[in-house]
Amino acid sequence: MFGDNAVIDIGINDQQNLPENGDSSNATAIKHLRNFSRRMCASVSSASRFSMLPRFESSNDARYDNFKTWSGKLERQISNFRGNPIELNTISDSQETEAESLPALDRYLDALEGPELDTLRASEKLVLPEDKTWPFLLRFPISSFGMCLGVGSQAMLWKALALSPTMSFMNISLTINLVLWCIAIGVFSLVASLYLLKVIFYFEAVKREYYHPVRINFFFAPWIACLFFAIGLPPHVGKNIPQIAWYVLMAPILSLDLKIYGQWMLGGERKLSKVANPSNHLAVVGNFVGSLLGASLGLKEGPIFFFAVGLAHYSVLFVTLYQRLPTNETLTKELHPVFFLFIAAPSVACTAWAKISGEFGIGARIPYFIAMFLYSSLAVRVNFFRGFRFSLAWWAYTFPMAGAAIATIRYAEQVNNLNSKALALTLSIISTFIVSILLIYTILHAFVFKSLFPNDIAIAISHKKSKSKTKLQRSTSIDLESCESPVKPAQ
Amino acid sequence: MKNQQGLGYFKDGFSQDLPPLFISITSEGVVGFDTNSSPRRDCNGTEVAYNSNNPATVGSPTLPATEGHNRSHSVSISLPASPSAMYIDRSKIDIFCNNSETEDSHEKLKHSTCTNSSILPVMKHAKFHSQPMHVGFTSAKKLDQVLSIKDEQYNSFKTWSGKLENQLSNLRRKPQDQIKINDSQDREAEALPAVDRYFDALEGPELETLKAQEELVLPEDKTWPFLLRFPISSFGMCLGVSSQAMLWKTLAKSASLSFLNVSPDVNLVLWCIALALICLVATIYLLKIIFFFETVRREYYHPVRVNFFFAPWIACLFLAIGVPPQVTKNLHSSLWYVLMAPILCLELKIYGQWMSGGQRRLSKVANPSNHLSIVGNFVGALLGASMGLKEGPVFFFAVGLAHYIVLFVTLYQRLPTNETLPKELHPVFFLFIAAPSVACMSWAKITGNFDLGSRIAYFIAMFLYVSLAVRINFFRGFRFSLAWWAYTFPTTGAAIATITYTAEVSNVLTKTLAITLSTISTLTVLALLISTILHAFVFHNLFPNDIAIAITYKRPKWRKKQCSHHRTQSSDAKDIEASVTKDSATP
Repeated sequence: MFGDNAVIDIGINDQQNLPENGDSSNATAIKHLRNFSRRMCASVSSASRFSMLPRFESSNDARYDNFKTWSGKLERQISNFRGNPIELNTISDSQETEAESLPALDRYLDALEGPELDTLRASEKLVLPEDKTWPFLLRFPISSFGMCLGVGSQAMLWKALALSPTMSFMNISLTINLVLWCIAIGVFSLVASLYLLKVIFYFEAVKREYYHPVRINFFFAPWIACLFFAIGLPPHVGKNIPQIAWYVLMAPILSLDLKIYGQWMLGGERKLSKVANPSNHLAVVGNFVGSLLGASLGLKEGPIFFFAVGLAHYSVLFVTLYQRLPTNETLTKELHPVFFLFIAAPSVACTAWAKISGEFGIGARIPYFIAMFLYSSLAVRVNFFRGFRFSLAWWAYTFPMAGAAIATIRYAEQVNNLNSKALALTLSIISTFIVSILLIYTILHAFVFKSLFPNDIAIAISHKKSKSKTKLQRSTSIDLESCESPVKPAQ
Repeated sequence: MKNQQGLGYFKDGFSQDLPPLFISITSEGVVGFDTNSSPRRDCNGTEVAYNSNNPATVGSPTLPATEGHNRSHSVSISLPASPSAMYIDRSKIDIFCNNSETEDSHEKLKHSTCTNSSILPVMKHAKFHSQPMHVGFTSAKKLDQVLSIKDEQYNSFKTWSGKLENQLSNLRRKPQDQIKINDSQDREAEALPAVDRYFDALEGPELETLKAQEELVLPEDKTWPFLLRFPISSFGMCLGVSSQAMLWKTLAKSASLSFLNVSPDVNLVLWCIALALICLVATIYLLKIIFFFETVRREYYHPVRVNFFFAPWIACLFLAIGVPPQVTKNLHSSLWYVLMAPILCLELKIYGQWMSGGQRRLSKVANPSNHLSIVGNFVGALLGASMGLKEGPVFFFAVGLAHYIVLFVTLYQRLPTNETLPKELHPVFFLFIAAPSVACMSWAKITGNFDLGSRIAYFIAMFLYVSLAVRINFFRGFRFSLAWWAYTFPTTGAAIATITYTAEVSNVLTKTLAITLSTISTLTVLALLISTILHAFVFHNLFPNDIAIAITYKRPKWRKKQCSHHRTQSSDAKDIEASVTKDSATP
């Protein structure tokens, strides 16, 4: 299958070369030359694949070389050396290989579909074999950190339940918090070390995840999970983390903020009107979680800083997501668990503001009620949540519910009546229940269906739109048209 | 020729002098010149009258008449059969003697295949010919200029001369003119390009660079009169210097930074400079308003420039805030009302345009320079609150906050319809810092202490500052312009906000930050001062021709190359057909 593609690609190259060498009219030759130069990237990639062709018949592993940290580059260099006399484009070679290794944003949006942009469109093909199971590290996505978010937020929730004076009638032991916290730490260490291995061995794949418009937001997840652990720290383990730890944890979040919000503002391809997706909430909620932790550590200015940054960009994101601009292609038509992330930011902002200002005042109630409204707005539509393939990323969508439950517990401390207590209890139960269901699902997928880590389609899209599945003749003519069109305005 | 594409703008200026030219053409007896009967039918017999007296007939196209009229006669002037032919003949037309003109029209009539055949094709051709109408007129106009005074080129931008001229010519042509009713309407539409034209013809983050295929209505190769080259963005200088005066006043007064021993004299000197500068700029701009009102209007309709109309008032507010203690301790509060009145009027106008749309809706015109129209509210609130007023400052703060949120979200979204947003970083982005940092100070003044609300605004400003500062190495490769002065005041505002913050949270870190930001701001202003002096006295290009005000009303057509000729021809024909059917009852 893979070999076939390469052959067809090379066939296309031959087709393009033919008029250029042949004696047809000048104009068509020039056109084809243009066409050729436009498709050079494709031909380079196919050539490099072709150069690997004999080898992956022998050793199976070579196919994944492109994604490996060192071997991929070396391989490419070697194949470039070999390919140089054949290919015309020596000058822009290095540029193109880079472009080849990282698909542009548009390619992600073109080639993938689904709310998490992780399903391949029918017309597309992958650079990795579709029919085989890839190496485990390649199938291990960054969204696995969602699990840590889910379990970590449960630890927080049970700590809040155990320590809240209004909930003391339930006599919840702090041991649950301790157990959950330890599990969360264990999961986190496991996931983090696995992902570290991926960073070391398959840096290319990590880069591709980083450039994926939805996945990039999950790069916040490890740091948010750490913040959760710090907030949900069991009293058995320690009273509070040292303040310096807060600065250490917030530094990567600040850098990612600068990077991502800068991309939104200063545009380029990744402007917000294009990439906006509910998972962007992950990029915003880190600020609020950080300010919550900082305020509970007794810091003054730092938490307000992150609260301000979060607030400014949350309003931008909120408006943009509500607008559902026609350019936001990744927004799903129907409801998807990812929409629960809408609850996260306001509920965490509510607890953070209560901590910063020292009381559950009007400023805290406004985000709290926004969160409650969004929660019920999603809950009444809950019967639509079906027909989606389970994915590990769903874990990340449970923490907003835990956050809402915690905010309600805080609210019940302020407004202490039967209603608020019942609400707090209900939300806590729902949150724990959902997490249990997800746990069962995860165990089922891991040990029964053995499909917990399917091939991670999102990282293996090809750099250029695949042509092999359409007819050769047609694709060439389309190419000609698209080649001509950028030339026209210059005339 | 190439500078004179826009007919509409010059109509006023030259119409009086045209008839002699056309009389001479007519006297040459051009074949087919007046016998091309078909276009006349376009106008449903209204032009039959023209056949009776020839000179009047030929003169008629110069009237600000409906397009139908103009079109019917445009054939007769200079119009090439093809834009490419026009291109080739350009030099000839530039010289433009009557003989070559008639030859041209001979040629072109031959060129148009079916002059004397069936009516329908002729009509089509007539329509086609009518398209480069402006070319014809403007070349005629050029002749006019060449023959007479050179200065008349700028007439249409002058305040009275154009109108007077126009009125006179209207008076003379009244009997022939059928469309007196929508006359004034037409002229207005012609005098002011629509907002789409600004977007089509100009590019760059400040919309002041001409696109390659576009034309100007003023000569590109000459230096225009000084007043025409004096843009409203010159008030940016006042913003920059007066905000420095504010900064040094705050530095001198700040208790937490008293170890610096900044003398209040710096403030006094800067304030006097700022005052002098604002008087100078205002006087010159007033002269421009008096003598070239058309230009001012064009600046007012320019989607980016309109924001700079806030600059004079904001600069005055800065002056009032930064008034040295030596001059006066407390200003009378009526000054605040006087200064806020024009800002309120401009806001009603501009925010109204955003809300109730039309062509200037925010999803189209959003540009970082819109922050100038927001920041006035916060500066006003700051001044009012420091004067001791209660309600007024809150009013302006509220208005500013509401519209700031809208603008902030829109700019962050970078909608695909926002064409003016620069791809790369540009100094204009520093305006992002202005509103939150001034809002922080004004909220602190309104509430009386630097509370959480002020801090939120302050930290937003700081984050944006850092976010821009880490990308600072992209700030290069842009042509210096006077408008850059306006982009220095946000850094000054951030420095002042930091000094205010330092008064609240006084430690080494905040003091260092305050000093760093003040230094950066002063250094930026110094660097700009040096560039300005260099450009003014060494390169002599401080005031280049102000392209933005001289775009044509219609998209020029003649520059298309030969190969795309056929395509344009057909599409032109379609365009015109559409407009004709829309305009009048043409079959």
